[in-house]
Amino acid sequence: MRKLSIAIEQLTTCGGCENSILNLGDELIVLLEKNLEIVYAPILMDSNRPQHVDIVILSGAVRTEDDLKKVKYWKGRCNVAVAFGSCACFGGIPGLSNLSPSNQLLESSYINQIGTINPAGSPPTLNLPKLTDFIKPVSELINVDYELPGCPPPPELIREFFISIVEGREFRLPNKSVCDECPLNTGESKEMKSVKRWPFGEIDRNKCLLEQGFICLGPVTRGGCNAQCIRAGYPCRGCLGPLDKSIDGAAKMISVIASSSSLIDVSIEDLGAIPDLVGLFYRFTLPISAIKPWLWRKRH
Amino acid sequence: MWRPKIIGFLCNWCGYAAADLAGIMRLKYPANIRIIRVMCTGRVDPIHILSAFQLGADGVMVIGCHPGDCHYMNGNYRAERKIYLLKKLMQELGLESDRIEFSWASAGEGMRIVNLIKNFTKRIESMGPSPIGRS
Repeated sequence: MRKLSIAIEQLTTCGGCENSILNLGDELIVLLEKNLEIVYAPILMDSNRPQHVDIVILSGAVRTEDDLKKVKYWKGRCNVAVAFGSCACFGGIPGLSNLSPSNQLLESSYINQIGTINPAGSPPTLNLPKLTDFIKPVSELINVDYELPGCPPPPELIREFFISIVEGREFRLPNKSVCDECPLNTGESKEMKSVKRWPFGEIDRNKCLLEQGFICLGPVTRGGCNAQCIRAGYPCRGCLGPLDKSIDGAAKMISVIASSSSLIDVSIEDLGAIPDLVGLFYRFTLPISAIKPWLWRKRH
Repeated sequence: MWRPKIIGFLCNWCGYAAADLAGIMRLKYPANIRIIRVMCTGRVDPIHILSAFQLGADGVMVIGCHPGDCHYMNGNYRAERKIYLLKKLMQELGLESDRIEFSWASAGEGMRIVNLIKNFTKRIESMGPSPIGRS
């Protein structure tokens, strides 16, 4: 059987998604021996972009014009395009930069940043690609066949994806929330009796974090990660994005907090004191949020 | 001429009954409001409000029972919290949170609901069309 060729195209990314592929371990070696062949991956080796591949894995956000070119290159040159990781699927953490115009971003990182010495007083221009106005999910730029969210995508999902591609099956993301997989979910009704910020206060590792007052995005986030953050004592941050048919994870999370907070022990001011709602609820999904067009119009 | 489109989520037991009473009393209120009856304002999810804006609404009103009067014990308090948090989120994003109004009216307050609708319509008229409206 012919091996399926894979290209891994990196956009603006930290490299964590590519590392997550390596997390498959021995299974990756078996897959690479029998069924898959990586033909292009700048993170591993320098080579020219091939003319045609079977699968292209696009990871990272489209932040610069250069990224835009890279994405457009694969139009019609692949059989299967995969948006890999939360940045490619929803814009991810870089997506939060949609809140400020790109010139302001350059100024704050190259001029106003504490500790930065910049005698020229202007952002560097040499060899730097221009920033795009807005970060958009890859699926808005080219046709994407599969989306594999996660920051980084959990190895179990990657394995399932590769195996289903090799076997010729269609890959579906699990459509159940993190709470469904969470070991702390007892199935009983919960009441938030206080509002706490994560590292502060005592953490009971055997009790639902939301019940303890930590804002955990588990109820509104797609599962598939086996609730690994919560198993490690950290509230869910929502990296796998909203579930199918949910147009906005943040709105759903507001609903969760409002309906589960105790009316006696938690006052409305306590809820108002939760710092940085945007960063908390839209940490990974601002570019696909329901209010995205509003932000866009505000800028133009 | 542009006329604001306003979506009103009115609860079955108080807000909607008050609007009903306003009709029986033959009071006039602006025709800009499109009333959607819900069983309780606690049922109104922030998603519904955002969807209304996405579909071209210029303002959204949610009117429920007075505090303590909710037919379902505490639905109106839940709604208050949802809308409070949604408005706060929008303020943090720098969006016009004044396009959302949460208020109370009991089944006997036909006059009050007319005033609420009138004032809100005036406010939206002064704010102009919603930036994400369809038209």
